[in-house]
Amino acid sequence: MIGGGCATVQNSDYAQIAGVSLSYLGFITYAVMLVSALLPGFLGRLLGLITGVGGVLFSLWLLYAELFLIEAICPWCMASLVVMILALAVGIWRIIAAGDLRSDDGAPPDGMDRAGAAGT
Amino acid sequence: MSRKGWLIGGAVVIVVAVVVALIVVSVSGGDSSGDASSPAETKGGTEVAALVKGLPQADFAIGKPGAPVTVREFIDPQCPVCKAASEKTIPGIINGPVKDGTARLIIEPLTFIGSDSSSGALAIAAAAQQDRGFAYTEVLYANQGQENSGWATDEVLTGIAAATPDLDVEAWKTARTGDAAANAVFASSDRGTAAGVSATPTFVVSGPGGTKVITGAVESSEVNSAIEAVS
Repeated sequence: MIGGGCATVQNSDYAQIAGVSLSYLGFITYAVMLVSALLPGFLGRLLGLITGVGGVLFSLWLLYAELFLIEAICPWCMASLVVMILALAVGIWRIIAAGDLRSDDGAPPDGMDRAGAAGT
Repeated sequence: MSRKGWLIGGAVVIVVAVVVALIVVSVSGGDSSGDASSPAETKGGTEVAALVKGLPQADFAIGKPGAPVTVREFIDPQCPVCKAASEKTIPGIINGPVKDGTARLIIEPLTFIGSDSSSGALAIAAAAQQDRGFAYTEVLYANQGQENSGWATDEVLTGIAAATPDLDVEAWKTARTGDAAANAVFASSDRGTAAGVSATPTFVVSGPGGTKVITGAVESSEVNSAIEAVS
């Protein structure tokens, strides 16, 4: 019952937030991701990372809701979770590859570890 | 940490907070909308009352008991195509051959889709004990929910009973859990198997001229032609 699961999920109380369909929220999130992929520079990378973080977190909540609250699984939602995880991985990779986590003094790549420890 | 590192950390913290807020709103909003939607308004009572007006009803049937042609409509309370047939096919049959005494329509509830099908079929069978099987079925389709979503709750089914013309709701409630209702549903299922019904709705049109089988939410003229052909 693939279609049935999606229908159940979409008709559940969890398919809307304050009257806004999650389909719209998802659409906006994916649209922002597309923009972040096209934006050059740090702003694009930051946007890509945070939409990935937000997307994965929210998708995990939806996975929980489907498993334990709605008790129906919609394969399309699961596919979206996988896409979000991949997008987050790409977002993290872009940040690391561009050296955004390195110290501003232009330290070599191992400076990343130092930056993590030297919070003060 | 670098300035960009701080920016990234801050942005991630804000996004996490926003997502948590969204989830909280989702849960609380979910509760309130659940409360609002549970006493759902039952639809279709007036329309069905107009449809059955002046026609003899008995058990699961509507129409003249001695009518030459019998149309058995095998349905599942949950099947969306049966709901479509209830809107598109049934009125034309009732207002045509059933009203002029050529045919009698009998509802045969099957329960193959899921647990909502069983509760729906038992509710129909309980109404049939008051000769309102057909009327209850039609009101039920006006209020059908998503397949296997658990829509056929006691509350919804009782609302449908209350909206069914000339149905004693208290007697219906008692009958719903009785053996007679269950046996009636089993009997329908046996007749469905015997007739080789593999999809719903299936109209089995039988009369002196033979039997014709039509499946789907067809135009009522298609069923009416079959009724004419076998009468």
